[in-house]
Amino acid sequence: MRGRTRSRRGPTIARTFRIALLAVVTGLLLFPFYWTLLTSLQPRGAIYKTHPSLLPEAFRWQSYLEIFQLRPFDLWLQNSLLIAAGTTALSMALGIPAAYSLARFAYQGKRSLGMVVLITQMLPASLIVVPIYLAFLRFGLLESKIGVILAHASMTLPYAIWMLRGFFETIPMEVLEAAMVDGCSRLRAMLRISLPLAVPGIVGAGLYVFETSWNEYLFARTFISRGENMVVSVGISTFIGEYTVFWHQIMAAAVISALPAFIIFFVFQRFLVQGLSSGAVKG
Amino acid sequence: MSVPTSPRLHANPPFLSAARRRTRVDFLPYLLFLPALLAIGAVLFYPVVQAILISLRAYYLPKVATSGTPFIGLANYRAISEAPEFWHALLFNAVYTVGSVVGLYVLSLLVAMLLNDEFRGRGLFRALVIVPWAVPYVVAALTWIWIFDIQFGVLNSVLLRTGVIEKAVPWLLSPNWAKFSVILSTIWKQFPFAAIMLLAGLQGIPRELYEAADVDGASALGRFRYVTLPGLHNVSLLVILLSGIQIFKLFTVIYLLTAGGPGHATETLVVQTYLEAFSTFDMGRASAIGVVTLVITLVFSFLLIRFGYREEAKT
Repeated sequence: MRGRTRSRRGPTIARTFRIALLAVVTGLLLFPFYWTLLTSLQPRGAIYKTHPSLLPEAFRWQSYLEIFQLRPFDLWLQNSLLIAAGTTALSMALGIPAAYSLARFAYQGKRSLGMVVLITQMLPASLIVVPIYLAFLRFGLLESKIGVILAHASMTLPYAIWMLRGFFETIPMEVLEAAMVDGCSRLRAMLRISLPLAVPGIVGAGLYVFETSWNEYLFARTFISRGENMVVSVGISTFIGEYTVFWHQIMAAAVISALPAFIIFFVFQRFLVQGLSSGAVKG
Repeated sequence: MSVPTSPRLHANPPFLSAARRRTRVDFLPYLLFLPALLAIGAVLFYPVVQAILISLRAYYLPKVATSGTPFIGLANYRAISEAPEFWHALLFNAVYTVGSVVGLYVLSLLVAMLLNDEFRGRGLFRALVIVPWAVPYVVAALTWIWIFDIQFGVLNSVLLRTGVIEKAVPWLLSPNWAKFSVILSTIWKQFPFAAIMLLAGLQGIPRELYEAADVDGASALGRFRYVTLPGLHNVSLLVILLSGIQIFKLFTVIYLLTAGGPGHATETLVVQTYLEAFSTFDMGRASAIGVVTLVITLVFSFLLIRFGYREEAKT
């Protein structure tokens, strides 16, 4: 009993030290974000010097406008949005039935199918990008949104199946059996009962897929290298080694392009953490 | 519509299996999985096979129209095995992976232990600490390039002002510092997943074990050594293998920070594959390096499935 109270309240000094240490570590880990945001809101004179101030010297938000004038930034955002939405739709359309099949049926070869899903996550993108590039070259899919959607969906589909399977498994079997006693076929039970119950899980997995596609760089860069279909992750990478766009503007662009992922992350933080760790832990 | 005569709630209810139609194979589950399987096959497995075939050919893209893609056996593999850049990339890939995983593990363990305590605002701290996870790789790379900038970078400025260094450090411009810098950025970007997994692992260690250690008069170090570390054994194995595989084939951080330079200093196998394919356009040689990457990844994935997941399943 004594040990328990001690471990719960703890000696005050040690406890304070731990929380202080946590604050310092968190501060260091978050500093890059602070610096990105600060840079984006400073005038040119405040950042282009050997010893920039660690605190804001001024407040200048115009970089967030300038970036839209310097580059077709709105077009990049729109392309990213379309590609991420297409990827999400495709991954869900293929992923939901597959995940349902793994979660709710016992059949021969199920373990192997689960293994297939797992192994695809291990394939290096640098290897498969070459044949896909050559195939797209032949079928005229380079520089098109469709090509990138296909490539992204191939990457996100296994994850989506893995996450959705976990959510479907949480739906109590009794509900389905009751429906079947009432004369529902198994397919109808899936569409009428399981899908509505799994909506939160589907939304979560969908947002994860959306975020992955929005953030992806390798495929997007290889399959769309120029022109009107460029996505935002590739667009802002072209600022590297460029001297016509200044760092406060680059950082403003970075903040905007990170925003969707951030919003999704904060709204669904608990949810994503749960889904990912359960997917990772499940054998 | 066949209604099961006696719906029973046992471990394997009729819904799950085709038991009630014993004589026929149940196609529904296969049918449901088929579209996804076809898609995965077309966009993942077919390319892998294709890449292996390309690696056996002379496939220089600008010359395909004139000289075709003749089969040359293992010549691409022989060529890379004779190229010092390849061995250098392999070595740096190992250094990069091990260095990042070790750093990431230590950092994650520290963060997880600090978060594994009940105090107000813990949820907030937990959300804040794992934010690097949410940031797109490209944005992370831009941020670090700006922080590492030799002339205007904040890192040099802070270290100069506090007297840690006397001269600006070429973080991304000298071969050795560039290696250090890409590892540092990788740790920052990749550690949150490990921290979350380890935190879950810590929460799974029964409190009684710590109490028992207290009764036995164990020091803080003793509790860490004899309760915490053994309790985290399985989840640590999983985290190290998963992070290791992921970092081994990570592309974007290095490609954007240094593009494999200066010289070939920070080239890993995936970066070298990409440069061979899309700067030199030698698809055959690129595929050969890619296949080597695949083989190494598969070996570690096998270890993961064999030990990581199995150990996890036991607990």
